[in-house]
Amino acid sequence: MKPVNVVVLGGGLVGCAAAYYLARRGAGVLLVEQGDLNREASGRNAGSLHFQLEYRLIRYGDELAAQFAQIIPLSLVALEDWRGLEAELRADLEVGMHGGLIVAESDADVALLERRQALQEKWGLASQLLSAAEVRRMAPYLAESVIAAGYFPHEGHANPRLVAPAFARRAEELGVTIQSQTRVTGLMRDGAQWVVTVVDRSGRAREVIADAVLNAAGAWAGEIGALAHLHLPIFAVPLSMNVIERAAPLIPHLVQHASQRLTLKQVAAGNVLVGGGWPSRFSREGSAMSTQRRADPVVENVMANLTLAARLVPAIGGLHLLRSWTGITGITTDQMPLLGAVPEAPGFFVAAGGAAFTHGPTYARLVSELILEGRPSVSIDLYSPARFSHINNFMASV
Amino acid sequence: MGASDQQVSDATCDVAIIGAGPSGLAAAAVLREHGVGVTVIDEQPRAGGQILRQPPKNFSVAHWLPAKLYDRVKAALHAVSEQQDIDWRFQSTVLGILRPSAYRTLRADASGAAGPESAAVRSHMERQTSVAGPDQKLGGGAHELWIQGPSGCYLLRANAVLLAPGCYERPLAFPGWTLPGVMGAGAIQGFVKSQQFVPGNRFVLAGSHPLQLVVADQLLTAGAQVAAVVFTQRKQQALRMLRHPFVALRHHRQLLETSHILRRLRRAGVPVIFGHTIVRADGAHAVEKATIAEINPSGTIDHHKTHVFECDRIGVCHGFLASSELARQAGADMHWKDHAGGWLARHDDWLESSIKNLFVAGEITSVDGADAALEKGRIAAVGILRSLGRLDDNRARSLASNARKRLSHLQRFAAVLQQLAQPPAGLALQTMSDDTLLCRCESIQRGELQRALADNKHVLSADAAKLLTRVGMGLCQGRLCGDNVARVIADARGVQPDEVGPFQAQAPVKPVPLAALTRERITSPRPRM
Ligand SMILES: Cc1cc2nc3c(=O)[nH]c(=O)nc-3n(C[C@H](O)[C@H](O)[C@H](O)COP(=O)(O)OP(=O)(O)OC[C@H]3O[C@@H](n4cnc5c(N)ncnc54)[C@H](O)[C@@H]3O)c2cc1C
Ligand SMILES: Cc1cc2nc3c(=O)[nH]c(=O)nc-3n(C[C@H](O)[C@H](O)[C@H](O)COP(=O)(O)OP(=O)(O)OC[C@H]3O[C@@H](n4cnc5c(N)ncnc54)[C@H](O)[C@@H]3O)c2cc1C
Repeated sequence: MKPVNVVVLGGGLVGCAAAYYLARRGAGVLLVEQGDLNREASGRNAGSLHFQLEYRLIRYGDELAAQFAQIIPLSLVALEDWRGLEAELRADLEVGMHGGLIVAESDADVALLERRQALQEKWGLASQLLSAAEVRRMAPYLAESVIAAGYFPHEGHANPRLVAPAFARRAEELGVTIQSQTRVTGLMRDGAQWVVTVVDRSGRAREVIADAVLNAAGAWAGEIGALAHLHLPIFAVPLSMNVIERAAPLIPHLVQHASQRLTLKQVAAGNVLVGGGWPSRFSREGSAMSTQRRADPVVENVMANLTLAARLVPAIGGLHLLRSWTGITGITTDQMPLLGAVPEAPGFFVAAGGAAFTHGPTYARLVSELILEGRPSVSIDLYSPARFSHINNFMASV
Repeated sequence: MGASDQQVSDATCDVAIIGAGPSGLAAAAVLREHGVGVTVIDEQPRAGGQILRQPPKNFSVAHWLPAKLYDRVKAALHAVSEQQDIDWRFQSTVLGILRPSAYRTLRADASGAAGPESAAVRSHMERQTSVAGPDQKLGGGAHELWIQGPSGCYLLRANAVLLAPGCYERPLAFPGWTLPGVMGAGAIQGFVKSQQFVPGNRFVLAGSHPLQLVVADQLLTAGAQVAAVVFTQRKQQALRMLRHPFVALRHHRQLLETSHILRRLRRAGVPVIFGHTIVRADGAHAVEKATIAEINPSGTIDHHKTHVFECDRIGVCHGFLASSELARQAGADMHWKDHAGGWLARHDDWLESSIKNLFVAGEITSVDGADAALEKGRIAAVGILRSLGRLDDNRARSLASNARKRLSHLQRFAAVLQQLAQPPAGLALQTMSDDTLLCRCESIQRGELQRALADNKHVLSADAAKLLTRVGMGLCQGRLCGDNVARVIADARGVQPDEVGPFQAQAPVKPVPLAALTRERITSPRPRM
């Protein structure tokens, strides 16, 4: 085993991809995951490749939307990354980039689409506004109630089941050591190095010394931050997803709604995935919300989500809901990713938050360039943890 | 509460019982006697559960269960089935056991609004808040059931829930096991029992459980041909099982008859073969042939020593798996006991699971048979009364003591039967070839799973394997493949199947038509938190 230069904390998509990119650049990497790989957000998400602005980014008025639109430059990099990913990883990831439709059912929806369009244009994402007739021609499976749609031809989806495991396999070929069923319980800076305490399945604790640590713990990135006595303003949020039984190919696009929570797509096996950010509910642990147990489903939300889906794509109305599940993901206070070095803790890097299925491979690639080369090939300053230095100002003197 | 609440939140009941089998019925009788409101939910059209399988109401069967084997269970059914003060909900599937939102409960308390809770429950809640003992369980006590009834889905809030969902036959995967005509022996019996209908002409029964003798006998009586009855056990072991003192027990009284059955089979020229297992089924479109092979003394199958029987039905019979999906979905602590039904719910003396006011009874606590299920139902009912504050500890203890005595007696013998009726260790791994379908819903072969395990050496849990390969992702939600998948992974990783875990169960635990879920009334949905 090579000496460990970087310990990657968390074995979701971001962690597995970072391990791969770090190793490709020659680093010695240890990846530590408390459960099995890809079992949290990265294996439980909807698999949408979001390049247009999602509803959650556009719904809080013009001022905030303008701020949240700063994600688009990263989305454009991610788009290129996804195009090459299957070849790079020599794996079928079920990537389908056949276009994304954000549908409107009312004049207010259309107005929202127009505003979104303007913001996207400003940041260099060339989307179109389709008329009712154009939508009908492109997506005959959509209901009559759809009167317009925002369209971006390169949007689409990939299969979350497959992406992180493919990164992990390639990472191991490059010499990365992966320890699953192993939990990080301590992080201490010792001079220029980090001492990482990990506890394996049998309860045995061990210390690992590394030059750098990468916090890729998703919704739990705040807890990892706390181990290093840092505040990382990441909030865990509980979401839900639904999968409908297999059907003949019908829906080639990623379908979203202009003013409601909906994403809908058909995966390679024929199942239709329905999500869009409907909440599930954290279970309680004393007075706290537990992020350690699975979030509980909220039946009303599952029903409302499916009602909306069946209204927009009437053909699925005759099928069965196969299963619903919940997943926990992390968002930051300003909806931007937390990506880069934490200035108050040299050698401590973080890549978390946001739509990190879409952006995960890109976070991972750019942050590994930053770790190993001191600067990434594309600027990620907009997303740097340095924007929260005013908080860690009071945390970092230890 | 949000507007959407009204649309799906139907009502509150005192106690909801899931499963109208022996356990659920026995519990209903006790609860009713104590004046507690009982709602019984079962996906079948009538009460009785697995063992009674009542014929449809408008379908009169001349000698419904003529053998006097099931009189105790029948008595339990008659004691409650016509009671109008029980809220019966048949053809209703429980899709999930959910925790009502703590947030809503808090709000109702704060506003001082008269909640739907009965006095009993209020006193119970007081007890809950005042006594925070070390045996504190998870959850606030009340539960919300997500139910798919004949006219759609709704939520039912219950102050306590008894989960008694029974068990199903343990499937064995072997080449050809998905051909039409391969069934569980119990399923064949189900047809004969409930409708006096013989689903085939010439049968081979193969397995390790003595139930197959009873089924063979019932088939002969009904005029079918039985080509062979095949036991995995060697002759000495099988005879020990069939002659064991448990035959004296009411619980398995059918086995009192085993010597008669064996004699009848011999007279009818039916070979009873020991030390063999089914290894394949063949046929163009449906079963035409069954191949069995010898199991040598070390427990490995000798594929060179085979016999072939012509037949159009194969009944496999390797014991039972508890229907654990709702307990797992609810988040109850489970433990794995291979020969007692796989994943079982942990519980305390009162059959309360690790979750407050979620009680468990019947086969979900251990597959001990119908008479034991009755006693468990009674004990759980007393436990519920105690937990709801309707009985003090002493009364509860004395009320349950007879049932406890009978249960411990029944369970002693059930344990012996479980031991003896267990298929040989490793049988499931030996009957599956590389290209045998492991997961029939998603058409995943054993070899595919094994290759994925070899390529992805960090996969340990059944869930991770499911995510990677789609095994268990289909309509049956892993009920059919879960046990075998766990064995394949455990074997590849050199661990025990319980370390691999069951698939995570999520609500809905069974597929639901979208039409039963969607509501056009919800036009601009606002998410509920
Ligand atoms: C239901 C749902 C739907 C979504 N849909 C989309 C979508 O369509 N498109 C999109 O782009 N994004 C989507 N997202 C968001 C996306 O899934 C996440 O942003 C992304 O998967 C995050 O990847 P990650 O690797 O950072 O986190 P995760 O995949 O959550 O991985 C973090 C890992 O860290 C591990 N960990 C935590 N603490 C420790 C510790 N102390 N020691 C060791 N390991 C630890 C965890 O076990 C976990 O495996 C969705 C999220 C959810 C929940
Ligand atoms: C094929 C077969 C044959 C058997 N033969 C014998 C025998 O001869 N002797 C013997 O002692 N034992 C036998 N058993 C074991 C037998 O099941 C039990 O002994 C007895 O019926 C157990 O009672 P129970 O109350 O635990 O469950 P059950 O009698 O199985 O009742 C459970 C009920 O729960 C309902 N249910 C389950 N899940 C849901 C849900 N999600 N929503 C709504 N309803 C639900 C089912 O429809 C069922 O009616 C047999 C089992 C099987 C499967």
